[in-house]
Amino acid sequence: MDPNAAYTSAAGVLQLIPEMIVVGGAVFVFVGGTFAKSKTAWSWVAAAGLAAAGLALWTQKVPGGFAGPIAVDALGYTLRWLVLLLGGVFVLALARPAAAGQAPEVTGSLLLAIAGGMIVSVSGELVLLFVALETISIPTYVLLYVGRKDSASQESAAKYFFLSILSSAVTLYGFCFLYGVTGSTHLAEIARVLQNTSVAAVADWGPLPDLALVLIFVGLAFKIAAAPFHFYAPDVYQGTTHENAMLLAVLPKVAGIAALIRVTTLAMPLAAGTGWRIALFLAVVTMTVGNMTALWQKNVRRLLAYSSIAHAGYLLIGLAAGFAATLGPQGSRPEEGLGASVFYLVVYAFSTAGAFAALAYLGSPERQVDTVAELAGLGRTRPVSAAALAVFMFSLAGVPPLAGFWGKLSLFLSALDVRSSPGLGASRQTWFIVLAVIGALNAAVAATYYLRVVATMYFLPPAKEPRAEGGGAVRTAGGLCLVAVLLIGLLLGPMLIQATQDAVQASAPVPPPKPAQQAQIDGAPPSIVR
Amino acid sequence: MDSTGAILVASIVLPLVGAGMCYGMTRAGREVVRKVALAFTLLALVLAALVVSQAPRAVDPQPREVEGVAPDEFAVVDLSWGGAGEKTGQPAAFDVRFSLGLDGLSVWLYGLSALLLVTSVLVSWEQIDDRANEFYALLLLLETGVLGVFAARDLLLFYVFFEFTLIPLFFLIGVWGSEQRHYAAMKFFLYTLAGSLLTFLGLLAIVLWDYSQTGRITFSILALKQGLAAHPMSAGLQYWIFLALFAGFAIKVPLFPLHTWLPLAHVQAPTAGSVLLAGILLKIGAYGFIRFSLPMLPDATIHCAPFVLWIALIGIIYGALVALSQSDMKKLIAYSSVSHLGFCMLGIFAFNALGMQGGVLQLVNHGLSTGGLFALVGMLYERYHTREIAQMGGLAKRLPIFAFFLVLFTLSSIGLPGLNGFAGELLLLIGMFQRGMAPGPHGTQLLWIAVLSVTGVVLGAWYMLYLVQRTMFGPLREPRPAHGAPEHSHAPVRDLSRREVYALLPLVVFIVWIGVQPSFFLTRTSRTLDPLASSLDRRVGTAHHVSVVDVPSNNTGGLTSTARHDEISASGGPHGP
Amino acid sequence: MFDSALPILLFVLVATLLPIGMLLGPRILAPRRQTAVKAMPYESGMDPIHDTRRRFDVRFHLLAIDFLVFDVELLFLYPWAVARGNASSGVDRAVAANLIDGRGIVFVGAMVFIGLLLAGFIYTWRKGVFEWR
Repeated sequence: MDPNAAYTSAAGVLQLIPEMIVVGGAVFVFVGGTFAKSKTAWSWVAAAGLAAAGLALWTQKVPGGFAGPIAVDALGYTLRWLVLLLGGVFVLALARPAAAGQAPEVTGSLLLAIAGGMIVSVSGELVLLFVALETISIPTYVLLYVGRKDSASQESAAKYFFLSILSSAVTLYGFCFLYGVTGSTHLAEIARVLQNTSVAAVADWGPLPDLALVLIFVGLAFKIAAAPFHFYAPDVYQGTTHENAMLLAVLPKVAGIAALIRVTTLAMPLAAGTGWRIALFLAVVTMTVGNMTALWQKNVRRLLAYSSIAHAGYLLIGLAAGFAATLGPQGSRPEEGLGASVFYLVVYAFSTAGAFAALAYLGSPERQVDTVAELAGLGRTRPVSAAALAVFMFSLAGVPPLAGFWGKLSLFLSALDVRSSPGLGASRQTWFIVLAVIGALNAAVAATYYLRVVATMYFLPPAKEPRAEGGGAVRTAGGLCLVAVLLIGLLLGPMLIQATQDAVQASAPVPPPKPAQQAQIDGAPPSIVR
Repeated sequence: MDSTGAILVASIVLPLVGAGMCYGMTRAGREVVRKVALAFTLLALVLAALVVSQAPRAVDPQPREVEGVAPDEFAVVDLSWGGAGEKTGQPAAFDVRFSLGLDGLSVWLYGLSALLLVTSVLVSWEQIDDRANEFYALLLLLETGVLGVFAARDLLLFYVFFEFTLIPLFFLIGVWGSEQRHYAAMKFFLYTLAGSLLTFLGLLAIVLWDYSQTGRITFSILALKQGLAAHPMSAGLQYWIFLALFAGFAIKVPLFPLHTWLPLAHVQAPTAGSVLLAGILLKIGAYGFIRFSLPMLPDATIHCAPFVLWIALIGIIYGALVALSQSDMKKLIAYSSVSHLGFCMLGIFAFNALGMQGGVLQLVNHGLSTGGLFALVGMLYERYHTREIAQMGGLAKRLPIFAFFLVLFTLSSIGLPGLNGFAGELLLLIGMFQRGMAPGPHGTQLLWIAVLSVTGVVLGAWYMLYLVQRTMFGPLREPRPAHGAPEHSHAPVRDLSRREVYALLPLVVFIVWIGVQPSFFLTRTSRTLDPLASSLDRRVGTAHHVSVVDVPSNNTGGLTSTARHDEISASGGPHGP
Repeated sequence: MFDSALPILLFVLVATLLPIGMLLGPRILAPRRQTAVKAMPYESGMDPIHDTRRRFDVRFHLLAIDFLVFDVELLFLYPWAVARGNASSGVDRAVAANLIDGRGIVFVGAMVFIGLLLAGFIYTWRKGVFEWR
């Protein structure tokens, strides 16, 4: 971007054309829905809107850098594509429930949430980022509530609503501190201020940058369902449909990780000393709590909820490694860990969305699959669905040659690659080796419950004929996820790991600190914990 | 890619195609599916034989000098994975390669895998009734996995195949196994996965060490060996990585306290599953030790060798004693595997040419003889639906051909001279005694291990011959035949069919061939194993002078300096570059 | 000193007198015709003593939310309307400071905003929120 360009410029705003198309589609669906009575047309409209947005995104160049509040960089580009593709899956998955109920409201809200996810991906400014996060949350409340009459879904919607509000408030509070310290809401400016400040001024701030970091982490940990802020997820997923659970398990997680990478690791390298400790702690607790609790679950959505919590822990491994690597020594590559997190997002999103799609397909609008036991004998009665679900489970377990394996590989590699710098923080490497070992053991624990699902499908005699009346659309959604998981696993894995690392590297708002500055920071007072 | 390499790739891809075909034949019925599966395994065997026949012998008139290929490797294929790093033309930072090839270590294990797959299709011929298309698809998938494990030249590719073998076996055991199949499948999978995830971390740590020294991330095993030779790791780091690798490989072998998954999985698996588990999958553990631990972490390996040898010895004797007390034939053979694999480890950790050659040869031998024994037990089970030794007696009168094969495989298993087991056991025991008597840091205890391990040979002969004597000879005592025969009809069960004989004959051919002409096989393994053994041997010698035990305060430094003096050649001594 | 405390004194005075006046005024001036309806605390007709779980018409909510949306969001248009051509504080100054690259973007932005409000209005209208059946 031209450094002399205005902060808010037409060129910058035009970068958001794909998002505008999606929002425009949502408005069209909302308003059009009050005139035309068709139930099925709106999913087509949504799909067309997403396709148009994809076309617009395709033609965009990636100039790198910032256009005012909009971060037009490779990371944003990558994440937007991810959200857009996932959006396609969501639209397909929700087509049937939409047609059964208030089609325009469901489809429109979904499009808004997708647009929110895309804006989060390119937010280079705190206010825009917050608004985008809310653009995901608010339509999600509607989606959780619309068309469901039973008390479980109402409880689920209310729980999600209140905790989401709380998390937004905490995040916003953290943003405020960040603004208070740096005097800017613009991430590039924040990064510049935080890096170029003299030691004396850093001492002046006291614990404020760390406080901001902690609050932002806590707020976004709610969004990605990281322990100990995870407890709403199982209840909410259990109370809602597979299709909604798919949305909840994937979209807030993508947005939360994107926001964490943008705000904390890329813009706040100064707080990295606190950051890697928080991320590491959260990662260990989240993985362990998620996996251990998932072992005892009988309800599939609850099981997948705990699985998604555990995966939030894995995602944080990459963040922790990225944080630690910003502290150096020379030759450390923060993009390795952050890229691993982004790549893991891709892998996780398609595997989880696929699993939910398969489960949604196996149920019927009247009665959905609830317990693992209902899947018994599926390998015999529904061989294709069972095979697909098994692939998703193995991918989530991280067994090669499926996508999940490459995700685990990149995460463990980044954790093991963290090196200690001499002097302060010499035990860092040890901590990360411990993290990797805990991650590996957790992966083995996780395999237990994923395998239990597979074993139930293949080893037990059929309980009763599953309905498998989810419809063609959700089957297509599952099929797309299956293709993605297999393609990444067999062919594209290494290339995508490399690509996400490159994307993150190209997207740091300011170049990493020079060794001289590094030394200066290392000598900073103990208020900034290294 | 030379033509041999192309055939190698074809032999690995072909079963995958076959698996897809079999899986797709949902309507065809098992008669067609099993023929298709047999055709594919046979074709793969032919291709594998073509590749193996190209194995260079010990003395190669013209050692090739090819960039990125060790002189002992052949049939090398090196492709980029998914186009990573190809776009820019410069090597990618994350360069995973689809790199295949064979060397002296892997060539016979690769061949054995292709051979045993044919046997397992044939032994499943009548046994598998239910969902035959899926069964054979999984079997062929497993073939791709095991052939790939032994042919992988890239560390990640190795791990991918290594883990991938779990998925088909999980289903093979869990769907087509016996009563406790569900539990056995889960235990097998989780046990192996837990260990191999730690192995995975260890392998990544090796890659990252290399990266921190050379500044490039490579997963090529050869490049890593060379990198480690140029920049040896500190001994402390080596121990940790050795432990991580040990976790996975020792479970796979299995070494003594980690063996509990094995009897369960072997007994519960369908016959084909047992044959493949014992015949091939156990070898991956030992193979991993030789491929990674020994050349890449020599100091830690040498330091930990007595520990490994002791638990291998415990495994030998414990396995034999437990086998002796079994009343179930299949369990007996399963425990005999624990004992036999202990011998293999003994040979490998003797760190001399004889021991390692013997150890690797014994891996192949165990695959042939135990694979055959499991196949035989499966055939017996098809006839009587029981494996209880107490219910049988004098069956040689009823099933003379069966008895012939059982005696033959038993003799091979206990190491009768003239058969394969003798060659392997003799070599590895000589190797172990040599190590025990050679001057070295652990002199006497190693000799004790060697002496005590011989009791394993005696016990092995005891429980195997005792089994044969109880079931085959003496007064005829037959369990009630299967297939719903009337209770007192005594309608004689039929002896081995032609199909069953064909399943066993190839194994017999190799049992005799190895027994009579072991040099044919050893000359092809020595290209890889001799240099490795001699470099380790030299290192053990030097380690004696700078004794690990004698320098308690800074043994790390001592070992590292040793490593610098005694440069280990990545690809091999006399022929090395 | 007295000068500076004077406003406080005045405030206290007003604050005391006003309620007293408000209480006394009706007592003196108002006619007293007590009926049951007039005795209720809420003139809207809600009975304050009843089960808290009483149902009450959802149309109140819809109307209230609509009011909130349009009222609050229209507030956003005031600064826009005021900030036009004013070289010292308005849009032109933002352009001069290179915060925005032209006046057009402000106009288009506000128009998009009004357009979205219009869409929302059409939506609520078509949904029948304004009909009190």
